[in-house]
Amino acid sequence: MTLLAARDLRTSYGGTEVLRGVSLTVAAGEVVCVIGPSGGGKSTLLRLLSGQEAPTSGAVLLDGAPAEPVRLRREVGIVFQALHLFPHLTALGNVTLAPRVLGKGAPEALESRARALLERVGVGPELHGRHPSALSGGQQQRVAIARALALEPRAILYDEPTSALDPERTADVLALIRARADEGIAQLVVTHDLPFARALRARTAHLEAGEVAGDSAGLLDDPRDERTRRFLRARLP
Amino acid sequence: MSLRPLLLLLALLTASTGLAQERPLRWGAASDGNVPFAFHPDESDALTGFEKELIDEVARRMGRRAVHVRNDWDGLIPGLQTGSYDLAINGIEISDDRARSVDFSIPYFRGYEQIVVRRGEAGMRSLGELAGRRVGTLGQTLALELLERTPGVTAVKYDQELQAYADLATGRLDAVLLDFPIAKYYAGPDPRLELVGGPVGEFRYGVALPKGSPLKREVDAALAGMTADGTLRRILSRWDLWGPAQAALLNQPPEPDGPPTGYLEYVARSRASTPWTEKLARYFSAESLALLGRGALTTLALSACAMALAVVLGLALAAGRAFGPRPLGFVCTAYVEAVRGTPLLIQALFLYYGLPEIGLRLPPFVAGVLALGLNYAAYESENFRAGLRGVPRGQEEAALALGLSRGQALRHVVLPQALRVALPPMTNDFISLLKDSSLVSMITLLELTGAYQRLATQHYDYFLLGAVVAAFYLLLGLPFVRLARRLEAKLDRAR
Repeated sequence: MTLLAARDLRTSYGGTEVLRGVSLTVAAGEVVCVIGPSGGGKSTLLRLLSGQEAPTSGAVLLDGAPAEPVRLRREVGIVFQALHLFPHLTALGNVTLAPRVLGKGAPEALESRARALLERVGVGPELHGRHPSALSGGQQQRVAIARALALEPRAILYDEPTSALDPERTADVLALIRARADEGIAQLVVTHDLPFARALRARTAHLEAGEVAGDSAGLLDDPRDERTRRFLRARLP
Repeated sequence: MSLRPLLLLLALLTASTGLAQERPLRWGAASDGNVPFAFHPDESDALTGFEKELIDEVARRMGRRAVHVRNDWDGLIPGLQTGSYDLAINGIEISDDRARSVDFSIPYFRGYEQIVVRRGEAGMRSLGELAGRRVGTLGQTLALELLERTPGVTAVKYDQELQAYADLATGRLDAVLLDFPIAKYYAGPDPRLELVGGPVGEFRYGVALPKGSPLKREVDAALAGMTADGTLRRILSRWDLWGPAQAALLNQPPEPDGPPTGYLEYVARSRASTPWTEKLARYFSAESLALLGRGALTTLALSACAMALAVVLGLALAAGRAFGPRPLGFVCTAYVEAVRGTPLLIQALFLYYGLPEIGLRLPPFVAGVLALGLNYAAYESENFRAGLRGVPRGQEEAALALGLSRGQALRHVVLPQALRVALPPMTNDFISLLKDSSLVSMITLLELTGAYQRLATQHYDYFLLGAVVAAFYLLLGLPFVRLARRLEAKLDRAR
């Protein structure tokens, strides 16, 4: 059943249309991959789905009903490309900040929940007290995922999750995403790392010039649209 | 035996009721140097001098208790107008110029200006012979006026008579022209200097009171009574300042009444040339240290209050510029630029002496805190602004994406990071402020620099005492230097 959906999203900045009627769905426990060239509208789509911005027209749906940005910000988690971890807080502090500020429970309960979350994404207790600057790139990403999970979102968005990692760490990210899918969370992954997209083995949408050029499970192996074929040819040897 | 505490209590009670009945007569005078008017003969707070004895007697006859208020010589008349004290007595010459802004009592002393040169130097025995020479004097004096009126003379203005005579002795000046009592006391006992020539000009000292002060009649009556019954003659004789000129002014016999004990004690003290080890021991005496310690405490309290004000106001200014509407941002920017673009000293003088013109009288400590705090707020706002700018936009975005409001994001994510950037330079600023606080000795506050000036003019030693006071400043600043280092190191680690 569809959990998060974009319905005919349009958005323009100063007369330039960046999204020209984008529709997309992600079901609970499903992973959807979005590929496409830079400037194709991927980042804008993420901003709209996560509630950082409102569309010019169209709507983002949660459980089939239009959702305001305020609600999206609380129910949809996002893992930024640059992570944007809070450098003045420890790994644990990064995860507890939002629930604490938003009054989601007693401090002790929030802390033990955060510790459990960190361990769920593979951050051991010895790292909980460290500041982001004292963590490796892979560890930082896990903390960012734990932080996105802190408000128990039903959907998580990832912006280029492999861009800052060594190629051999990609498998870890894959495992982390699979584990969230098993938990029933809807996930959308924006990437232009095609080997990674292929490894995800997910339904893939191709976003180009503000439009969905293709959206299917076999898109990467059997592109139907000419624009997708051209995009893949340019990127694969 | 059990009666003693009771008796003590009784004595205290009667003493305090006695004090309550005796209203204070606050008199302003510059007590740094200032021999033989009103000066500190030792490191204690005790004052002596012919004007000190004179005003004590005037106060007694008025049924009041004389209370000394310290000020710089240049600030004596302005301080009178701001109501810092009831009257000023400090060798103030009665002049038409001054009479426009203050009222004067009847004169209590008549004198002339005295030329002083290095011993043996010839050809400078009159005002006319000073042409082509560098001549030192004090500001706002008849002497300065006479020098400026004499063609070819280069008049050099000093704040302290001691500094003028010291520059004469070391050859930076050719002569010093100052009131005879000053020359007699500062140059007379100095073997390197010589009083030459006859009387130059003539002046009368009077007590200065605010325009229309109801106290003038009482002061005049007391002075007239002291003249008639010979009290004034006895005081001036004690300080060896009695002669035909005074006799003529006050209509009294010309010969002194009593031995010049005040003068002799002073000369005996200043003749005693002390080796530097003994000097140093004297600077570290309980009295000196108490004076410097009190000065240091004032400096520290002043700096801490000013810094607290600067931080709070600086934060408000930075917030106004970063988040406020455009007009508010403009006002904040204008404030920062105006304050940074004008000297701190001008700001302090404006607050203390300027504001009373529009009816706002600030006590010296408050004026000092305001001057330093308002000034440093401009710098702190820049520190905060740099801090705010140093926080990447992604931080706020991430906080907002987590469901925080803008205010929550600012408070929990942006501000803590901005503060970490702003803290080390703020600590450095506090050390600067500690040193800049020396400027407010200009507005009658006896802080560390004020204490230095007082001790230096009393011991005729700017050299060793300077080193001692510098050590005090270093000691005050050291903890904050260390704090700044530690903060910086901590910040580097968190990056």
